[in-house]
Amino acid sequence: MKNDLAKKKALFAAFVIPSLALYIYFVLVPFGQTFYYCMTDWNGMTKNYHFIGFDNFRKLFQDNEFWNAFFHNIKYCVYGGVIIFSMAIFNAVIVTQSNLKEKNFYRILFYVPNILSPVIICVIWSFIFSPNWGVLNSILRFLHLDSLQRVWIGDKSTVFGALLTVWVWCSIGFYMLLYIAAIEGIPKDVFEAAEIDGAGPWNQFWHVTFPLIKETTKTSLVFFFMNAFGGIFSIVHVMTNGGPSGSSDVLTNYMYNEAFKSSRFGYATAIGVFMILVISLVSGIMFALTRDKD
Amino acid sequence: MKKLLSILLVSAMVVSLAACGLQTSSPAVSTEASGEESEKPAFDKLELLMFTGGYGDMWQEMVDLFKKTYPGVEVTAELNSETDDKVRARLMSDDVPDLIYVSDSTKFNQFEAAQSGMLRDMSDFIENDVTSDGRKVSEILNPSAIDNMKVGGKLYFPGIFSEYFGWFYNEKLYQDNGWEFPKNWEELNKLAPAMLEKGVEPFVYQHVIYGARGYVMTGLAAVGGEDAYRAACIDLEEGAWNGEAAHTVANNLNDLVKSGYFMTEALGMDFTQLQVDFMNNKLAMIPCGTWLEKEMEGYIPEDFKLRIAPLPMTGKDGKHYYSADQNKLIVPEAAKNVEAAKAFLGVMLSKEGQKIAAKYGNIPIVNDMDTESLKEYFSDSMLSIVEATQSNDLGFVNNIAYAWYPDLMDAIMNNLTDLVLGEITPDEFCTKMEEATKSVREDSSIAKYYTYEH
Repeated sequence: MKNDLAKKKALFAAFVIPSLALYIYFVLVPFGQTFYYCMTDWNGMTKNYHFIGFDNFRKLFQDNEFWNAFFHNIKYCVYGGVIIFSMAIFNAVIVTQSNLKEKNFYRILFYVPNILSPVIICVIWSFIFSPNWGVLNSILRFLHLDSLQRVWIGDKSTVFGALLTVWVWCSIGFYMLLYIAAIEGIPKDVFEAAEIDGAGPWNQFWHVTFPLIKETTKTSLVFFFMNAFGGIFSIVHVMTNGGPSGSSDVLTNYMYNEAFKSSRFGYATAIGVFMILVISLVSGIMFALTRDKD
Repeated sequence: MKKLLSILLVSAMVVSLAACGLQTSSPAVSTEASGEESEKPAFDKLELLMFTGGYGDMWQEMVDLFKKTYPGVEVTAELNSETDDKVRARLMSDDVPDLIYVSDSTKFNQFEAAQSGMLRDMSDFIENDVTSDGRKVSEILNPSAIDNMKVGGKLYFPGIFSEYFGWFYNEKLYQDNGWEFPKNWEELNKLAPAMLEKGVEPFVYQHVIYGARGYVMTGLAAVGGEDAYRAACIDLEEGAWNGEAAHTVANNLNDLVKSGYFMTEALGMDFTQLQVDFMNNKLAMIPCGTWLEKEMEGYIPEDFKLRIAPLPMTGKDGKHYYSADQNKLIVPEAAKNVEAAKAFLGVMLSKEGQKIAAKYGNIPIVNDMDTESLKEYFSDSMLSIVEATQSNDLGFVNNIAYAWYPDLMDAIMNNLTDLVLGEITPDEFCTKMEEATKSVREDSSIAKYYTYEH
């Protein structure tokens, strides 16, 4: 019997060790190196660089462009969070609990953005938002709403809304899928019991569905914050590169430009470390607030 | 049996994962040893990493010419538009190419690389080498190919070819409407209403970088002479952005925008959309480099007469200005086949190499350029630039500041956008540029490339 256990462990190790080794080498080691490079003046090229302690962080706290980008990330978290989660939950409830015949079609429709390349999505939306060529302004002209036409991603007052629209469109499907799985995991007899007790659709949702998908919400929020800081990069970089004039910049795009355009890898890494700390802090606070009280 | 199968599957997984790391094939990479081995050169291999972009097949044709000149040499050439993203990683690895062309210094800053000791000093190539058709490089290369390319007195980028940047227009559109391309800002403002009536936008730039280069930097020189441009963008002198040249440039654009002659919608469009609008005669002029014709090949209507002109602005010295940018070819310090790289540069400088460059919108910066024999290779728009290089009425500003001071370029682009959007006044533009210049000047971590000792 001991032999069998040893053989099972050996087989287990044979499966796990290669993946673990790759994960350590390509993920954990660079992650650890980040905390060293953020304290250097490395320009991303030379092997001659210097340890400068917390100078990069001192610079960061005095950098207006950094705080401008961070403020935009906060805006994406707040506005994006409300819109994405409310629409994802709404769509998930409709798809799982309504009598719509086209439910499966809507499932696929909302998930399609997740299987498209982010760059292709951004190019398509750049054309949609194009002031002269774009579908959006063309529709407004067709509806005789010419006064509503805008230079959507070239105007500081509209660029945030335009990029938020793209991000929401890309994101809903993923969270909807998580909530669909969560709702379908709720035993049907719970809903039957609620119905027997006279609960209508809204009460069923608020008192049955919503509390039972809380764990999914906690997990989704972690993904969401990571996405609000990291995933938004491709949309901003491809569509506006932070413009016009920094009005749509976010931390990941600013970090990218500091590293590759200005060759300030040490400083860019410090920005990355700041993001790690913020996401960890926010996630920690959120878990603490949503912890079940015994 | 099940266990054996499991072990075999695990092994297959490990082997396939390891094989991923060993794959080196890429559709853009060619490795060939050419034909007969007659007279053997002192090298037998050459590896190139070259950005193609708007140059199309220029580098492939150069490679073919090199192989014809040096048969028996094994040439590995990665020629595509993604190479700029690979340069940094290749230079930091042990697998270093012998000759690299980087187009976008925002992806890889060649000057930073030189400062970091990653590049080879090519002064010996300039001083001692000959072209593949036997002409001494030191005698044929124009000093301007060398002056701006030095870092700490060493020459890291033999700037053999230059691309030029000016304002393109359709001569046929102008002829059909009885217009003449404006020679100064007043003429542009007079012509603008007639253009708008015909549904043609008088003035626009298709990307803020092009606006910074084709309007702001060139405009400084046009109004205040090359000294004004150098003071503001190269020597970072205090007060340069508060001078007459900077104020004139800012006020001229501001007035144009307020008059409705600047297409503000362009800020929300990408450069491809705008270049297509240009081809469809919706834009009177756009700033671009001499690669435009090759880049838009296949999209230019048959009756479109593409021409290039300098920025319609003059000032102190009465000259009009173009912007110029030398192709910065680099040889890494760790390159294994330096003689082969020099030989390739020698092929580029040969008479045959010049013809290839001319076809693709590049002008060799040589004293003995035979304009007559190259005429059949230059497009009509290129010929006007070639003639301009021989003329004393036209000036050229080197776009080098873009690579030297990315922070300054960011400030120019951001403040230019704010000026066009009406968020700042021309005076505020100048003040903000003065502050940005001061910030770059006082930042000791940014290498300076002053014209003279400060």
